[in-house]
Amino acid sequence: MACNEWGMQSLSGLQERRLVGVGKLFGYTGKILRVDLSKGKTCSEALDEEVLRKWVGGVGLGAKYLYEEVPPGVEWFDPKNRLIWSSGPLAGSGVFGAGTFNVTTKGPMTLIAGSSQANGFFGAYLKFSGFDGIVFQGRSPNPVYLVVRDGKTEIRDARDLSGKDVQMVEDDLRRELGAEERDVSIYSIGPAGENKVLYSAIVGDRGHVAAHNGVGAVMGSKNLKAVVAYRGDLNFEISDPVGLREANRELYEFAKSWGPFQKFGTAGIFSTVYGLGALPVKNLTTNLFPEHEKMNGQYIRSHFKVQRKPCYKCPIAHVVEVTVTEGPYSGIVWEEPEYECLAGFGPMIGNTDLGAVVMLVREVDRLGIDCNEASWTVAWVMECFEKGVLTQRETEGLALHWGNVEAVKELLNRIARREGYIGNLLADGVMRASKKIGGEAADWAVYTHKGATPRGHDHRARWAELFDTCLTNTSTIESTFGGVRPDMVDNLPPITDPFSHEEVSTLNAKFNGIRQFDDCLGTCRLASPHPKMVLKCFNAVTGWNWSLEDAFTVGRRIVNLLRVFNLRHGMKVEDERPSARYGSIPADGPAQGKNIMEKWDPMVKNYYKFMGWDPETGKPLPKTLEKLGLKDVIKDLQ
Amino acid sequence: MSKVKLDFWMGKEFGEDCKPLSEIHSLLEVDAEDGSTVKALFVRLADRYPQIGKKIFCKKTQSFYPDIVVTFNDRIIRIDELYNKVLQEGDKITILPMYVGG
Repeated sequence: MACNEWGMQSLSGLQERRLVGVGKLFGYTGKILRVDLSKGKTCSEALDEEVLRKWVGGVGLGAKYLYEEVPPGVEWFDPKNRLIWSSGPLAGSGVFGAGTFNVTTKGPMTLIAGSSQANGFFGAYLKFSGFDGIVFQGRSPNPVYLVVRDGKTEIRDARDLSGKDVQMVEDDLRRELGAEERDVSIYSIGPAGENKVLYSAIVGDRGHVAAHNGVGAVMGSKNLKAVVAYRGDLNFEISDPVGLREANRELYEFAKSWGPFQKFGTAGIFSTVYGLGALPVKNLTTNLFPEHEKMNGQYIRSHFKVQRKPCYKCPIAHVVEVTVTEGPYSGIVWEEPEYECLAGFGPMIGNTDLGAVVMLVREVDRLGIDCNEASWTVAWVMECFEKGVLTQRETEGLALHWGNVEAVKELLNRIARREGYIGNLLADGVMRASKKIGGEAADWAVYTHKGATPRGHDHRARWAELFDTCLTNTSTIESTFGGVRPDMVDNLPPITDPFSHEEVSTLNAKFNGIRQFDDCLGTCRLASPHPKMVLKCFNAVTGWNWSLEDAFTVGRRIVNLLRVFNLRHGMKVEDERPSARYGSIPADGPAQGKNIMEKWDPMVKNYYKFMGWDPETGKPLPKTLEKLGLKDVIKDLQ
Repeated sequence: MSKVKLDFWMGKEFGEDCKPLSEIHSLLEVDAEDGSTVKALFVRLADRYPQIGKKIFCKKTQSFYPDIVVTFNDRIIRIDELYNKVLQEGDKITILPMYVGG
């Protein structure tokens, strides 16, 4: 559905389309904001219940708009590409920690669909401003930013923000708008996004990130520097407020005892990951990192100065701001590194200085770069340097030995500005850089052949996630949330062997769906750990009385639609595999000797079979699509 | 009898009878009867130590709780193989919380 009556780009002048087919909707505003950056205009579109029941929100709505509006042949940087920001029914509903939004687009790393989540406040504020989501299209002739408030919008000149990092953008915009810290939620791109670094992120709310598949580069290609949502006065109704309070309480009681997150943040799992052989060390050349207990969340919280900075209405409050209190980076203040960044700028690059990790995470966040792709890229270039494949001539003076954090800081800045040979080479990510360097160095890079890198783990000890990372249609994990938890859903057998090719591929397929449903809701992963409890909240908000199977069906529908999108946009099933290093056999650690590649092809075929896809071509079978309510797209695969 | 080391990575609060090694580690050395398996040992320990019965090993199902991961002599092995391991002097069993996300 496209706008045919464009409103003026003024906070006082937005023209709303006539709302057609909107009945009594609970949990939604019932409106999508469409922003045509080429025209510099906005309009509001109605979302009817049928659409919402089919796609729910978040990645579901993102997949729908992407599929319908981005045909094959449209490249990631094309003005015709869409950048869809979508909240969900739980965001702002009173469910704790529900301030999340999802970004869906055709991204530059994989050249197919990408989906990424960011927490903080934006997902809730967007709804309080009158919209369930925003569809960006076109390209502005000059840098602009968008303001959304109380059902109205304004596109403003952002030329004076060009080149600024995301922290400066947040500071400048709050000052310009006269807004206090929590009056507005601001997400923006840094220099990396402006310079189309292929793994640019969208960063906001003082350190939250939508990171995967270069969503920031797409934003940069549209000349969109930032988006501001006010904590508006508009609201939406809840179907069963009393039931929601009870469901929310149950969910919170479970969530606060789930993992170490409330006490130690995601960094609290750092040593556990090490104990299971899944901590990435020196570009996967080893699994030994005896310094792990001086780099974990327990150490951070007991040694650094900590100030809580919870996301929207989140009593779990795993996010804190830290002040480094020891070592050469004492005095640096930034959001505590999440586990992935801690691993990425700690052991992965041979760094044992915790304060330096905070410094480097501040650097990638400010520049607007995905810390995962950045750290895999830096780790690879360091291995190349250590082994003499690259010298200071190619690195233009940088001595990229393991753990040289000052050289890494400089390198990140050159990458963000595509500066010089090395900055420009690495700005396209590790897969492309390693192919350009070639030789045996090409085999040292960690990536999937679709073009993305894994999250910050050594998945050779974590096969469920390695397999998911390679088979995904979202350019990051799709089926699992790290691992699978068959005990939390119905009718699935327990895990008996995490290194069984057959068991991993079967369970990943059978578990696929619930994670994508969760990513429709506008709530954080750490605030929604139990599918059945989350579903109770969802039913109390929407009044739809869904079963777990209904939730799985929505998730599988999204997976299949994105898969058809990807196949039409050139995805090759032979690229559903890891690079040589990513799929290599660990030389030491708890997973020593485990070889996932030994039966990779049978694993993939088994997964396809359980997903209802052709075991040879990986295409969803017509009966699979029909069962999921996707009959209309069957013809698109022929 | 064989001396077996149990290395708990469950935080310093865990285990009233364990020797804390750090913020996350604590150690418990136990005697295993000759021929005892890992499962038989934990059935006994779940009785003897309430924390193990509550958080590590479910006596009712005779299995580790789903949010627990166990390595044997620093290697991850199949769960049925783990349960049936006959314990030897010096064996080390590491108990970690299952983690997701990150």
